[in-house]
Amino acid sequence: MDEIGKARVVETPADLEDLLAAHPDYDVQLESLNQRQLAWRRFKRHRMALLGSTMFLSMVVIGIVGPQILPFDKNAYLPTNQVVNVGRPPMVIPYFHPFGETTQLQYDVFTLVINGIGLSLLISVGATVVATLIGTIVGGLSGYFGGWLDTILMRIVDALLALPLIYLILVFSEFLGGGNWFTVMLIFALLGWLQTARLVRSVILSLREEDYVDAARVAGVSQMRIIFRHLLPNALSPIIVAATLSIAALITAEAFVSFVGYGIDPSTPTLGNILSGAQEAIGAGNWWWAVFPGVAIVFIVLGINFMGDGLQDALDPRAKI
Amino acid sequence: MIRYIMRRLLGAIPTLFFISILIYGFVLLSPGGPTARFSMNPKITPQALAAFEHRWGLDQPVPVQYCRWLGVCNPDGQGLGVFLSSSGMPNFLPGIVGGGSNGVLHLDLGVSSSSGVPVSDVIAERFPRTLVLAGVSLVVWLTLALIFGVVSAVKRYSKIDSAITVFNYVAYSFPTFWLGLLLIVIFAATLGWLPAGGMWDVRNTPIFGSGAYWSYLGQHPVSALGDLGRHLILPVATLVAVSVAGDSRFVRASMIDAMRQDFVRTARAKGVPERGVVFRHALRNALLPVVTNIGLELPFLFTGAIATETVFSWPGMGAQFITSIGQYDYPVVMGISVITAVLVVGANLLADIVYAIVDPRISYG
Amino acid sequence: MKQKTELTDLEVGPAVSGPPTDPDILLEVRGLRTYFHVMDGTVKAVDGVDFSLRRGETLGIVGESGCGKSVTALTIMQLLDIPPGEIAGGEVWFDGRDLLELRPEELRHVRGADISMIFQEPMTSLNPVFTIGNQISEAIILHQHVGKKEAMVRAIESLKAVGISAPERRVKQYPHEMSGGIRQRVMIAMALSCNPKLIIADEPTTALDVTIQAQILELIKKIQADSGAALLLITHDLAVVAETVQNVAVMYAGRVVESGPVEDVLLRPQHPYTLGLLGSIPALHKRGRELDVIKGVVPNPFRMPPGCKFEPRCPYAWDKCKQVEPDLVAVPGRAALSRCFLHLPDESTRRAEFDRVSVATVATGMS
Repeated sequence: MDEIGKARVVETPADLEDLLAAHPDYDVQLESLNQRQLAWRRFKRHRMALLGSTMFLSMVVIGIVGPQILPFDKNAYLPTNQVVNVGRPPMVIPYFHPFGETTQLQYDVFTLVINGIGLSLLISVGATVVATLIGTIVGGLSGYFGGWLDTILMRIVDALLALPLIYLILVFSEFLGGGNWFTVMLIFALLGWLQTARLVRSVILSLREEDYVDAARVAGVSQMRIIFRHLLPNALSPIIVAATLSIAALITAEAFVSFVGYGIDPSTPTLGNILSGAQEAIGAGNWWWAVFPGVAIVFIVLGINFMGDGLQDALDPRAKI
Repeated sequence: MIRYIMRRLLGAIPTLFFISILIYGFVLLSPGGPTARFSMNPKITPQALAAFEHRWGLDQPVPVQYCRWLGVCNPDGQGLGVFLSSSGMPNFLPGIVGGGSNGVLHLDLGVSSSSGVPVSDVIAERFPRTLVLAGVSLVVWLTLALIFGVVSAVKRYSKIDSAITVFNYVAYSFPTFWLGLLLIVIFAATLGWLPAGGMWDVRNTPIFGSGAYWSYLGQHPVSALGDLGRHLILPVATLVAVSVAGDSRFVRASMIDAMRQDFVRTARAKGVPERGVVFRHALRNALLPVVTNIGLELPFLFTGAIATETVFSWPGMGAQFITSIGQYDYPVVMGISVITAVLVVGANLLADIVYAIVDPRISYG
Repeated sequence: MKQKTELTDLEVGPAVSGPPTDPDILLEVRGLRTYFHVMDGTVKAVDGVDFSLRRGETLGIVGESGCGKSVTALTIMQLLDIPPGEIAGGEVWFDGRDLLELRPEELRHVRGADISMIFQEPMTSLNPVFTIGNQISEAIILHQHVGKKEAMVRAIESLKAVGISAPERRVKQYPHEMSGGIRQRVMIAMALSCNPKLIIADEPTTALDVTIQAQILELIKKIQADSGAALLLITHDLAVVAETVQNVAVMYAGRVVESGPVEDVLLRPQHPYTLGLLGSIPALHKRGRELDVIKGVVPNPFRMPPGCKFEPRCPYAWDKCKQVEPDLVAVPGRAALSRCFLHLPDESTRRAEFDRVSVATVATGMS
């Protein structure tokens, strides 16, 4: 009950005013934090964000470490004499298959899923990084220079966005992808920058007329330096949030594209390929083959969505928690 | 108002122009050109193939090809006459006022390379089926999103609000196609309550859209619609789950914001019943941002339909799209892309116009 | 903590209960308490407010922001968000009924019909998506049971009554097409439309331009006189009170500290806080001199002083004030009530000093 002597943290000037209005007798000691420290502190306090990042990071660790220590080779199927009960999970140790086995070839589903998590994350994170870079550059140039460059770039973005992204991804990965995961990742990257470009452009547009930008211009700062040093850092928060959510969208997109058979070579275990193989087995009642890879996707995407919400709150300088 | 709509319509033309260039680019991507598959197809005669190549100008430079595909150029014209139709009017005009008959602008989308059927016929057969799925889904989607959003905003922090919030987060993270698989496992494979796929029961119902179907619908409306309904439940549930989750979060936030406004307090002070406060005063304002958001999300009905139709073997446009990509059937892939793009641009336009109608503060000037 | 609660119970427990005996009293508020439960604890925004208002009479409630005057008005109308708000006790007798005991449906028929309210922010208090004719006639249709057309005719009449030109055209307009002053007139027309017995105006002029303020104030006075409704005017501005109302209640820290006829309270203040307020009004002839502001700040709502809530800032306070909170008592020989120990018969020495300053302050203010 007694609050005297307990240090309290105030994060924005508005907080400080509120606090002093409510507790005029407080002895205030100012501890200055920069935006990044503030955001980190808010993020740490956001319970859902912590949960989400724990979920996501644990999947990343599983995806990296898992394939190294798994007992089964993802490409090796078991000799028939080890199979009990048509793969229904869990099977008896030492032939322990917690997620069961696939029907015909009797791969260990657990091994497949772990490998799939790694590969799916690699593709979606990699594509997001490249797409974010492209989107930031295009949006930055478009927003800063305006004029005909802006008109043309944004018309192209509008047109690409009017065609559902999945159409383009499907067409491009079937016609150009050739089943190679790296090519598929590049296709995702080359099609995934549109929203980021729009976002960055709108932030730059709103900041371009600010006084401090004029001041920099008058002081003879070069245009590139103005864009990269003065404008883009302000767009960083929405870019980070958008990139986070883009990873989730691409995980799902990759899974779907592979699921319908136009993505990565079917023998490579991505989450979508595992599901694709499971489709026919469902009719036979082999639910585990389809359920576990899907649960892995939901787990990753849910974690990312929680994290995205947390980041959005943490990175908003006006936000109070 | 009319002027505002006209201006928005004109503004959409450049976007559609860029889209058409982009879609035409699909042809250039195709290994061996679009006719590579035609020549392998025994159903296509050399004469038909030659007619197609002439119509699309595949022996001509790329700009001419595009121009003919779009329908601005007349394949039979010479010199500058390519822009004129055979009756001497500009070729891009509709046929009834003397324009041409070829190209996308005249709904001539080419011939399917796998079946030899005109693409417009393929789409005419497939589109109504997708429309049934998308239309029913849209109604369910909007109804549930509004109910969930308003209930959780009005009963904030109650148990029901927490339940809806958990649903929103989880459903939002489900890949559409996997949710479909899951529903099939549960309701079709395990419980056997609902069909696992298809749009009609092949044992006793004629093909949807055929003449026999309509007469069957006329004679046995209950069993025909009942059959359709049974086939719709799982695909619709799959298609709307994600969008309901996203939108009810949005409606909730918007509604909470509206309930905090001063004019809501004014309405209460006037003695307006709580029902009127929520539905007349707050909801009307809360819906303004929702309208725009829904316009932006309408394309999901088509992207989601691709996944849903594939999983449930729903014989619509989305399933056709997937099949046609696998068959390298460029004319169909391009045709479906064109139709979808027009629908998406139209939906965005509609959202803008509806927004201008419902918000009196927007001036049409 | 516990000790404090006991003290509070002793000091403001209503002596009487039940409807007011005098039928001429339209509104009687007794021992009203409204608490807000927030993260840091409980804010007792209104903690024992008593006042009464006769039919056709005008009463002003004044005080600094945060003293609970607006919360008092919102509590009477029960327009608070519950939770975090809580009406922790008291009675609000209006026309023979205790509003706090009414069922929501009965209360709804009182709101807008018998009691109407004018808010501080005309810019945001009207619904942006409905025409103003629509919004005025909504209350008329609800409470007077007339059709849409008739309601619109009455809406036009009430717009005319508040001096809006071309009301037939105005009813078809949306709020964003009007200025703040016109919107506040619309709010007044809306408040007037159902012939209420009581109009509550919560800082009706604060958000307006200075030139418009006087017009709106005149208008409120005029419609009050014309309609014969009682007026409860809530404001932080003593000048507004002096011009507009017959009686006044001064609030501090969730309590009424002084109340009475406006001339008594403003010309012969009986409570040190009222005196402080009067002394802090800037005036032309005081130019160059430092303002006599009240020293200190409003007490922390989570740690109210145990005795008189004004004691930490009061220049006349002594030991007793730190321990016990005074009651709101009649001042001997005056028409006013005051919550101060200075009025006890055996405090005449201190009282004399207070009177001397009081007379001097008021005299400076007048000259």
